[in-house]
Amino acid sequence: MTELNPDVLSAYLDGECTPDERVAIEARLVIDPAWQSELDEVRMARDAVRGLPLVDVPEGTWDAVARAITAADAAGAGAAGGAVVPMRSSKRAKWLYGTAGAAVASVAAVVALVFVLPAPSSDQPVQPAVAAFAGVHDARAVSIDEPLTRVATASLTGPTRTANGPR
Amino acid sequence: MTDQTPTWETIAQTHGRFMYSVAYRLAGNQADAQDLVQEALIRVHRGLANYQPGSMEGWLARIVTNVFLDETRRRKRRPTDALPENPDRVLPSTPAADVRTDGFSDEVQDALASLPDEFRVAVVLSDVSDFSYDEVAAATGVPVGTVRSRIHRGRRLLRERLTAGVAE
Repeated sequence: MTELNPDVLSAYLDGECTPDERVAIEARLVIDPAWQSELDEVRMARDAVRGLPLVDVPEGTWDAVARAITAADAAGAGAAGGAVVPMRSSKRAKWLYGTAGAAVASVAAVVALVFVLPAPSSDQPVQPAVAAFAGVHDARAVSIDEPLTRVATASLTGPTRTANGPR
Repeated sequence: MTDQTPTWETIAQTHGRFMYSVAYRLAGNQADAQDLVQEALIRVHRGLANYQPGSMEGWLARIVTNVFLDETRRRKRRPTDALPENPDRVLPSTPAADVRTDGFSDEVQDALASLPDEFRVAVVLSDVSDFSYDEVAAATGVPVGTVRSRIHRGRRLLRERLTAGVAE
């Protein structure tokens, strides 16, 4: 008989085991009351969670989401996301907007310098200095937003098997 | 975006309770669940143009879950972020203290919220979001064998805690 770990019982319950495992589990259930008891217990737990009702959304949630989306749109695609910004954390939001504002101001200052300073005597373009600056900030942005960038893209592919919602 | 593509407002109106429920079961408290839904809807808003018609709730559950897992990883990298920033976020850490329904659901929610993160996530994705084991594995980045084990052990713990709760 295949050596089985009781962990397969939930997979059996969920139709997630192989045909061979199913045969072996059913044979074991017939002769082993402990396995039958454990199967009953995990079934009860599974049914309890699946039976949980939908939860009402707290008042004011959608207004806060609308404000956050408006702010995210205004800030541009790369300025928000990655970390969850608490709805009630105005200090943090101000910090984020302040940081974004400082970054924009820094970029503007560098661009202004590039255009105001006299052109170099050689044919060397000034582009590398700006590119290097942007590169530094791109690297920081990627570092901060890496999970969002990666997961958001992955999340848009959609599930392969889904449900009609909670049962 | 085509005319048939829903707006985030339509999605919030139609699937908002589902999204919030998934977030609440994952996070275990109202404040974090609201934050998760907010960030998820920002991602939804940005991703709508690429949405392929299919199971909207499956797609939404995956986004909410990804936001939750991102936030969990971020907090582990920066433990100080887990500290509450507002005084009113200090107290409601008791699982389900801020949402009371009635009867057995409260006990189940409390037991669920008391599970170790990795067990709770596996159980919620399987039994609330209705993910297959392969999808849970993909979402959490662990092998399917680990998913099996986490779901089973999570359910056993849940059962034990529910039984203990009844016995008290």
